[in-house]
Amino acid sequence: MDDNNTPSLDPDLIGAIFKHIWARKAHERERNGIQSTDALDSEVGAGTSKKYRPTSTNADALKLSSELLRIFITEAVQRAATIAEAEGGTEIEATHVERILPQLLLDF
Amino acid sequence: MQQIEACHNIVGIPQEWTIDMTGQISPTRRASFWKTKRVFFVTPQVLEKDIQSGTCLAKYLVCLVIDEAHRALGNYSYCVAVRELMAMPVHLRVLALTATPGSKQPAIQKIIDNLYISTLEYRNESDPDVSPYVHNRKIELIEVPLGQDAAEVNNRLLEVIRPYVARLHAVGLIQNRDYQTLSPVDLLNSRDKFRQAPPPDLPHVKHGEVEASFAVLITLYHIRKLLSSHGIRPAYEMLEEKLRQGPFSRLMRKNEDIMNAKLLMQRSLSHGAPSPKLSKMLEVLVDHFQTKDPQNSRVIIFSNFRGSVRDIMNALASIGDLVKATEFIGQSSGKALKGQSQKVQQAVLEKFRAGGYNVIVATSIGEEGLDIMEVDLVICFDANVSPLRMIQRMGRTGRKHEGQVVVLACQGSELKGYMRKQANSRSINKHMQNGGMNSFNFHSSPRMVPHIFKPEVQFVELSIEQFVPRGKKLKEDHTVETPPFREKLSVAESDLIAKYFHSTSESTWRPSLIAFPNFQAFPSKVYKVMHSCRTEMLIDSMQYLQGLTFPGGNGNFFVEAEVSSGDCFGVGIVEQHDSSSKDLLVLDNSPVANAQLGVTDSAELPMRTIRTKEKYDEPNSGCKSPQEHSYLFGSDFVSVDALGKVLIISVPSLYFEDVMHSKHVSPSTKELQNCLNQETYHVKTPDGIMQTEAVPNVTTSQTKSTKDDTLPTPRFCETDSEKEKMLDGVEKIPGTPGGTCETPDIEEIKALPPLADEHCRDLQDTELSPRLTNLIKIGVVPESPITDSGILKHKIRNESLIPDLASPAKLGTELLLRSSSPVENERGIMDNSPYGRNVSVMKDEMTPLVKMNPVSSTKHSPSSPLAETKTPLAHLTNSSGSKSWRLNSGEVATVEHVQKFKRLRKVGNCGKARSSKSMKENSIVSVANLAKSFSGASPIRTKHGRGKKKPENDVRTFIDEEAEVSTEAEISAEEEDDDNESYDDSFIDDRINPTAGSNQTECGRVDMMAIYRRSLLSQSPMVMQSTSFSPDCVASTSKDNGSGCSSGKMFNSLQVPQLESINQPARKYTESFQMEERISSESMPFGTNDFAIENKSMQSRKRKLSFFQLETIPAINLDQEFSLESEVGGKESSKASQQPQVDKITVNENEFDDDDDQFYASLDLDAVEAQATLLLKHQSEPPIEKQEKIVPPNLQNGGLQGSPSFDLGIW
Repeated sequence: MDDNNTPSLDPDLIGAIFKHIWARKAHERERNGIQSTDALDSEVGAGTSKKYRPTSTNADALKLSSELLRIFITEAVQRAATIAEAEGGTEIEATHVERILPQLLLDF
Repeated sequence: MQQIEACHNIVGIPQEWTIDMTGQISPTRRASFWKTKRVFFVTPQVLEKDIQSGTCLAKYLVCLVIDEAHRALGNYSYCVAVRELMAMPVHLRVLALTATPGSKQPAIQKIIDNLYISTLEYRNESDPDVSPYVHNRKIELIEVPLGQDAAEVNNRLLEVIRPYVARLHAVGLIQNRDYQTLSPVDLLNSRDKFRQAPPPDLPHVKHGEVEASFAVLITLYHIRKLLSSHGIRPAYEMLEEKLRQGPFSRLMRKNEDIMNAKLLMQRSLSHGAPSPKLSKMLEVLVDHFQTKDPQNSRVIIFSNFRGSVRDIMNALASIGDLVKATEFIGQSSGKALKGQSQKVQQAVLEKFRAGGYNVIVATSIGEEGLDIMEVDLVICFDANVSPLRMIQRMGRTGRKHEGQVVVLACQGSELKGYMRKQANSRSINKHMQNGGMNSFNFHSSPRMVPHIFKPEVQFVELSIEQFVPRGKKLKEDHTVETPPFREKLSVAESDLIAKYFHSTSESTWRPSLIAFPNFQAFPSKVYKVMHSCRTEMLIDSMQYLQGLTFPGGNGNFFVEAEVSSGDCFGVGIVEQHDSSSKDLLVLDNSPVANAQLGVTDSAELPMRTIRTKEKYDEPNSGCKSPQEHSYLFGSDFVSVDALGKVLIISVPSLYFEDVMHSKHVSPSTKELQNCLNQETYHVKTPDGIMQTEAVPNVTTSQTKSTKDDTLPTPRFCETDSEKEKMLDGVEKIPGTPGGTCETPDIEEIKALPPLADEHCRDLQDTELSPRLTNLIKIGVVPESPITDSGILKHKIRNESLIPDLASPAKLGTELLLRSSSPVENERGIMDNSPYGRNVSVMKDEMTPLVKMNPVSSTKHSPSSPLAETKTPLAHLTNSSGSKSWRLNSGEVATVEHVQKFKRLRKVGNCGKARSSKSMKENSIVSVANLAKSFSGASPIRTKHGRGKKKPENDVRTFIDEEAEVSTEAEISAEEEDDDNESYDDSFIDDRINPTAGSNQTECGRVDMMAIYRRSLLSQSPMVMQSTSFSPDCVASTSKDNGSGCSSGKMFNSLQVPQLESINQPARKYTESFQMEERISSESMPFGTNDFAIENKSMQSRKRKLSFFQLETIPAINLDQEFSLESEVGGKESSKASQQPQVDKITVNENEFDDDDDQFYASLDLDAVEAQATLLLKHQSEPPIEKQEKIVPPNLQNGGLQGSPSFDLGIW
């Protein structure tokens, strides 16, 4: 296992993606929250401020997440590649991924 | 910001030139903006700070526009910034805008001074350049009478106020005698005046008193103002608060009027009577929303006092859904009400804009500055505010379309105050007329445009691009900004991204988890991450849902697992070893049973074949040369292959018998010892006996076969066998419920055979068969029960059943016959040459099993017959080779089934190994024969091998040759190889034992070597074959699967017999012993030895089988051991023909014991053996542990038997 030499995902990139997703989720939540709460504005204010709080990630967790994602991606690619090769193709297509996807998702 | 948008849309200032900056932008960013942008929209504070810090490039500023210029008072940022700019040598224009410059002339003058204004332009609504943009704004003043309660409270308060005002008036500090018209502002002004210039005639002591009077009066008037303009509640709360502490409470606590007023207010509050202003306001609101759509119409209610905002909110809550109101207040948090943070304010405005609210109740915060959308109605809850604020309030409506302003004024002081302030603002307007040239002093400002330029008016068409909203608020609406990396992507790449990641487009591709259900029934190939249990569950369930039984793939695994579990063959190798050891012990018994079964089968065959066999035997005997035999066999096999299955099979069986006879004869002749004649005789006699016995057996078997042909009958047989198994205690058969019923039949069968040893064998065979069937059932449950039944009845039956399934009943019968014939051959071999026979029998049994598999695959049947023929050919060696070949062929045939076939193959390999061992033994008996037989076997193998097998066969032949030439060194090498192959030292020990035996006789050594090599070769070739066959397996059809199942069943059956033997070891042993005894009594010492060997070999075979099934390496070891044992036995028998059978038996037992020990589960076997052999076994057990130990038992045995101990000594 030459994991040390294998290229890994940049934790910063993963962190940025995470933050992007979190921000979007928080915004959606906040938007839904305002429309659903007819309560006092003070309450809404408190809620919004809470939801606006950005989620943060610890550096080690980010590293771990990156590795997990890397393994997941390589596994998916390799499995899809075997399917593609079995079909004699040289290009992994969406259908190849679909075939291995259920089991892949269950394996992780 | 709206100003940017306005500038863009009106005069086309490019967006990239503009920037809005507030204090929220960091100074460093602001500095960069100051350098890169051209038009700045900044807060005055930012401007002030940046000018002071120098980040604003002030000398490049050309124009400063000041909005809401009326704030430029005192030290406000506007003033500071402008002062800073003016202090610099900068030429710039200042444009100040305001809707409410001020309520008094001095205030306006101050603004002009602060901002260095040189010209004043005044426009009102009626001016021609303003009127087009101003919509009609209806201002309505509603006088609201003070409520009854409020009026009463007001009177009480006036009562309280009057003496203080009178006192102050007496002192001369208040000029106005009418205390009703006094306002807090008046009092404040008076107090200021008093503080600056106290009246000289007033004694200094009185100052405190006057001060206190002022304070009280201010508070009271304030309360009164609240009362009139906002209602009782705010006034009451104010009073309550003031009475709680401070100087006011000290003075007023004892005042009766104030307490009365308070009580009055309390009472009216408890009544809940709304103030007239509130009710009037609600009236106006309802009227408004009746004429306008509540969804689209917006209303702002201004109140100067936060406490009244809550009152208004409460009142609005009472009019239902029509009004969705919210409050809009400042940030500061008071005692009663919490302020709203800026975010909440933004959210409120956002919702107000979106329609979430249609009424805002605002304090003065809503009057100016904030971007509140246009409203239709403005209600001023209190009228007595400065005209500035009133104008701002009115500015909230009438911008884009008509609006309405309602001013609620309470009769009395509030109304008067409102009127006065309106008049005030009108007077200011007069000042503004004519640019205020008469009223204000202006500051000169030089012309900035050089005089050489004469500006002219031009009409320019502005093409203004669509304004792209930006900024914080707008960002919320467009959270997904175009990421910068987009610009770096090629068109194809961005198309790809859009295909999979464009969240809005409908055509977004989403991976489907249900698109390929068929693929989910098989485990997908993995790279590094293994499948999880959840995936396996998914696969299982998918297979179940799809109703698929995958015999080739997963199905096989499952079957195997089931078999292993059912058979007590632990999945774990160790467990398997244990179970296998037990099984082996059982197998020892079972082998006998198998042999018996084979005999029974043979008995059936004899019916047809005996005659032929005899004929063949004659020629075979005449030939006597092993080579010829081998050739004959080979040819026979070939012919069989080429010929029809059934016929061929029968023929080979005959050949086998003949071969067996010839073999027996040949070994005996080779030995040249006394045994030769005796052996031959014995063989003959046993053969005859066997045949005779076989007849009844055959009848039974035939009946069974017929039954097999009919599904129910075979089932019965199977059930019988199962029952027997149950009785044995194995009871692994949970899968076969019918077994119990069948058991009686088996018992019956047993009862029949008891008469003769053969009968016993038959019984055992039947037992084995049921076990097999059970195993098969367990493992191959999905397969047809018929096959199971056939397996149960006999291996032959199984074969027949399988063929029946695939082919007509005739084929099945033929198969049965075939199977029987091989069995017969085995029997004959057994009878003739105990060594070779035993081995051959074992092989034959194995072969039948293998045959069964091939039979199951109809096409394979020929191969099986060939194998059978091979077995006969092998007499000794040839038979083994043929067996192995048969196995191979059968395997080949079955190879189609991948995993199952592999297992079968393995079994076949085992069988081959065994056969090879037997061959070796045979060769030991007759060295020349061995070599020839090997050669013969090799060609046969090659023939059967079909390409792939051929090389292996060649290898084997080479090995055989080597074995012949083999020296001790070679043996050692072989041993090493064996060791390598065999994981356990015990195996090595076993080998050593055989080697020791071989040492005694070179032939024996050679045999051992050959056996080892063969076993090794056979194993390897087996694998090779399996691999080679695998492709065939891919193409395998359902038939193939069936054969695979059958093979699995066969294996299972083998295992089952072991179990049975364990359970009924005593019986089997006793039976076998009896058989041996009988044979011995028949003057067949070799036969007894052979039996023992057979038993051993059977055990070994079983073990091997089990191991093979398990596919564990130990199996190979077992095979080797078996071969060793068989060789030893053969050697011993051949050499020790003189020696008593007992010795051989003991040797066998020793070997068995060794094997058992090696196999772990020897305890049961040992016990059984001990029971059977009693002292001998006990003696042998210790030696079993080690090779060296074996020797002593042999000696002991020899001593006991009194027979020559040559072999023992040699050992």
